[in-house]
Amino acid sequence: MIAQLWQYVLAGVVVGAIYALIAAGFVLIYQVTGLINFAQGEFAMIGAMTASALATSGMPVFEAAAIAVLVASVTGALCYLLAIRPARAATGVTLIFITLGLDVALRGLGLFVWGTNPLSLPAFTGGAAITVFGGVLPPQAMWVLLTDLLVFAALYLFFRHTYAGTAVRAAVANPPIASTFGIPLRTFAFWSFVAAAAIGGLGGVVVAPITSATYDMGLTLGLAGFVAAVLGGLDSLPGALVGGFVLGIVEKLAGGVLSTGWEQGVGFLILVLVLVLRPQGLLGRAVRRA
Amino acid sequence: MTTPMLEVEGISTIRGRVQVLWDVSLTVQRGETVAIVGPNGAGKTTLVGSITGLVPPKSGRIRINGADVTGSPPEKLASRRVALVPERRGIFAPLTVRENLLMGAYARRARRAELDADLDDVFGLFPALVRYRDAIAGSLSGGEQQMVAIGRALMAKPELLLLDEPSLGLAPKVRAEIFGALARLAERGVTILLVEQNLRLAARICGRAYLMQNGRIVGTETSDELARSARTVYLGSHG
Ligand SMILES: Nc1ncnc2c1ncn2[C@@H]1O[C@H](COP(=O)(O)OP(=O)(O)OP(=O)(O)O)[C@@H](O)[C@H]1O
Ligand SMILES: [Mg+2]
Repeated sequence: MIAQLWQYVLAGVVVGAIYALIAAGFVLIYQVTGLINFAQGEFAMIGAMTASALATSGMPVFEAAAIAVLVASVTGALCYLLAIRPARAATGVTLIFITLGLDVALRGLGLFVWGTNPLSLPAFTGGAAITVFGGVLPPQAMWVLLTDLLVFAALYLFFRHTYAGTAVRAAVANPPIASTFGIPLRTFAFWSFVAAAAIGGLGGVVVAPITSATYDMGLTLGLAGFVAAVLGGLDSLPGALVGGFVLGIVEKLAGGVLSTGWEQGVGFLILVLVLVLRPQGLLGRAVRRA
Repeated sequence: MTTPMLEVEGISTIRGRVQVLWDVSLTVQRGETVAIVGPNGAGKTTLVGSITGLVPPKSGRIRINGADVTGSPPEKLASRRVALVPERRGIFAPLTVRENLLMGAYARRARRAELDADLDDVFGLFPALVRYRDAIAGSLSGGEQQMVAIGRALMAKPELLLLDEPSLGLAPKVRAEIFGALARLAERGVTILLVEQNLRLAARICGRAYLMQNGRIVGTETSDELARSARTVYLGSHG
């Protein structure tokens, strides 16, 4: 029984790591632009589908992965330039509908380009399954966790130890005053979309060998990433990391112990509970609305 | 005659649906220290906002160093060597003191060594900040935060410094410290436009003042006249 639970936890860690990446994208864009980008999951889909399609046509897997991340980043840039920036005078609700529209449009694009059949991506490295205290993980899980480690370390270093990263934090803290010192809010908004798309795309690429890739995978990943981000407070990158892992583990435990139906449902349950009981999330700042 | 540092020419500004500024004009010569005084709601902050671009005027002209900057976005302000010390300080609360100061220099794209020298300069002007160098700015006292806000503006190496009520909510001792620093800046040749409700403080460093009321400039006073009104009209109600 314990061994079985432990196996669920391990499986939860792997999906949780992906949720954390998607959640990081939500947080980045939310922090810099105040916007919840519901198209976030589609960046993962585009990363996963591009890499899988390229690898299927014979490209070495790392090359395919790199190009896929690039394609996802360009998609993020285009989303901002074509859909968000022209509508920046719009109100919050309108912008939410715009990102929901983007989500649908990107999924449609995925369907159009790659069709409905799942594509597969070879694991980055072969080898035997990894055993952790009696539980097993596929070798690709190491790549997933390594990606999380690198992405979150890079984000931490950028925001804490670079001048540009500090300027982004200043822009988040007080946009109008930051602008009087020449800090370019719109440029940062653009790059937040690019970074969120790159990170989401990377998440899709590293998870594709485990889950395989489909044109509609962005929907579930996006929702899970959103729940993880809310769980973490929506304004905290460490919160996104913790939220991702918590959600992943809870999902797999619920799915394993109760029934697979719960695996999907439990995320929404968590979302409702967090919004009602602790709207600032696990690691978010206390409510700052006036 | 040389070009004025700042010329505001007949601006009218609307906030929401309310017209807040009515045909406001003023001139600040290079090297001058000028005050804007007036009661709450007179439109002082809105006037500063129109100069910075945060609240663009609907009509009129604003020139900085002779260049027409009417309606230009706030992002351009720092590169014109103008820096703002905003009302209620507006520091970047989650950043450290040092980070706040460094952000003031964003538009300069200066090198590290140069920035370090400028940081030392600010810490020289406000020795009280030295030991809070790496403290989160939002955790500082009001007076210390005001020093951060002024120091941040100085890091932009401004020719024109706009200050919106830097004495607000501060104890007399801290006010004195801050106005001492402002006096030293004025001696260094920084042009200062100071919004201040405390006439006595304004008279200490400003050569003259514009009086504002209900969104209009209703008069000008020399610093002697200011000091006199501070003694008669406002004695007791201001510190
Ligand atoms: N966003 C806004 N929408 C509508 N009216 C506004 C807005 N902001 C300010 N006002 C109004 O504009 C007028 C001038 O405000 P402003 O802040 O410029 O005055 P002030 O002289 O700086 O006052 P204080 O000394 O209290 O800081 C006030 O009557 C205020 O109510
Ligand atoms: Mg004001």
